[in-house]
Amino acid sequence: MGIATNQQVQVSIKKPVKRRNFKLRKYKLSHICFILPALLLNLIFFVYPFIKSFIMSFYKWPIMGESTFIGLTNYLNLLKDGTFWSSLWFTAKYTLIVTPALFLVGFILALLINNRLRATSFFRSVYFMPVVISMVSCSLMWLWIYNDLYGMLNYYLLKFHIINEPIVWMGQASTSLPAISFMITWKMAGFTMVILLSGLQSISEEVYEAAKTDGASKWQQILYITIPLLKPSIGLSLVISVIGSVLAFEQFLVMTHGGPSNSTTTVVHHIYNTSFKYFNLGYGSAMTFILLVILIIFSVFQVKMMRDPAGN
Amino acid sequence: MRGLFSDLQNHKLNYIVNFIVAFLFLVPFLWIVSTSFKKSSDIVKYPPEWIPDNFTFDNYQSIFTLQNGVFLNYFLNSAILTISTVLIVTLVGAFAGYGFSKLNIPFKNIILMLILVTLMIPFHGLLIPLFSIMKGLNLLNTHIALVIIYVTFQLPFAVFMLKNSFDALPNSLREAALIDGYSDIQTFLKIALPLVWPGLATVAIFSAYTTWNDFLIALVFANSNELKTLNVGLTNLAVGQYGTNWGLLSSGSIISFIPIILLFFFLQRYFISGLTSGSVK
Repeated sequence: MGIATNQQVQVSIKKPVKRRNFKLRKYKLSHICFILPALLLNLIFFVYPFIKSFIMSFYKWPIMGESTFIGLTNYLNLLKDGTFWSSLWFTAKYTLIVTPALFLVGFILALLINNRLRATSFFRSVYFMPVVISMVSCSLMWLWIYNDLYGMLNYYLLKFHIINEPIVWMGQASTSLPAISFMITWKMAGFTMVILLSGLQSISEEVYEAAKTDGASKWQQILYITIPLLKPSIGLSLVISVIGSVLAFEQFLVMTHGGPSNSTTTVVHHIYNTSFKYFNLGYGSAMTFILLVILIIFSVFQVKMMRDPAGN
Repeated sequence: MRGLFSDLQNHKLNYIVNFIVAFLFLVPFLWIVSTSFKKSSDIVKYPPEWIPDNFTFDNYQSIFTLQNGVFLNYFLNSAILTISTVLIVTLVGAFAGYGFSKLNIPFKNIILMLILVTLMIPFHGLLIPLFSIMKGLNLLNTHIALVIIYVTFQLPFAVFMLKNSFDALPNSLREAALIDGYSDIQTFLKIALPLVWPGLATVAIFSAYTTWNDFLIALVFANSNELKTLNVGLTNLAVGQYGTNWGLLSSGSIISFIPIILLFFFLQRYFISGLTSGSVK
């Protein structure tokens, strides 16, 4: 008897069909509660502000008092705003310097630690360490290195007679832009390295063995095997660098304050000044919208690259 | 080919090159650590000394005592914000991830899409309307506003990550638990949650890193002196009267990144997976 009951129980467990029907027909309130907090936060503080941002860009929206609908005026003013266009151009220049630099250094680092030696994990940690510190403390650190009077960089450049007079690195855009780009390469190359490393490790050893038997040299292997097979990871790392660079702000705020005379003001910096220094929220929204359009184009690239790695 | 110098006879060369590059990467850290232990008269000495002759803890002492200990306040603000954000993001994200993965919810896929699409929009794009919304809610200059914003922006990644973790658990697990008389919430808390702890760790680390290192959100939404975070406070000291006190700024920077670097060295695997998947998505 006892055995028979046991079997009956087992049979009833193995009947998923009935339960599944039951589940499909009826939703449980308690189940909805699992996702409700996330959904509400998303709707109230993400979706709603996103729509509001678009609406605000058609208004003159001061911090105090009434806001007035002004149609496309903000967007038209944008066309005449020299600072906006120069900040966009400066951000583009910065992006064009930083992205290849990050890729190059990140790629070399990835090749350096793509092995199974015992100390490798130590080196990987060292190369990744600058990634984890905040942009603010990183900027302060390098501001001191770049200090014109007592900084380490000027001291060694003078000592080895590379320069004759100390350089005021943050004094003008022509020196602060390369200096800050160099700092960012130090800070973020470890990140590119990790992305490229996971790509490198997915390339099978046999491909290289075959190339070796065909007499390909190390550099030929890198050029004709590694780089083509690494394309998806390379694309991904480039898109991430581009998006990060377009959003650059803190390093310039801390190190140059955007100066002299706005020559190192990035787009985000200009939007920040417009919106939270002069409280011109409507105009700030219009600029933000242009920035978002630029970024969404890059993000679409990113999604495409991840979905369809072969088709560039 | 494993790496540049991976053949056996090249092991030595690999070590040598790696040691040189690693040393170059560490130089800025060494320089700032050295500066933080110098007397202010030695900081401006030419040529600069790497190992301070007059070793001192003065800078670490004065950073905590300046302006009635405001720096400790900055530190505590960052710590409180980080801890609360990590807890809320992980909890809300776990509930939602479990819901999307295992439970039957109307319009589940559409809602999930809606949350994941927001991964594509950087928070910079929403600061202005959020400023106006927080002002309307009377939450400007409060920690609550900051936590709400941090949580909202980190949630899509948390949901994505944890849904994937729960997806890896077999559905039969939940069904067996329900038959044993567990309620859904008990199944979630007692059975499913402990099984996805690597996912939870990744989300928590990503959240801690993002919150602790944030600057722009804290700058816009909490600018009264009592509420400032470490990064905003440090920037303030640097543009104010302490702008040329490099010993002080060095010790301040070091204190601000020590917690995150310690976290990195103890939980490296989760750190790297959290940061890379956090931006790769």
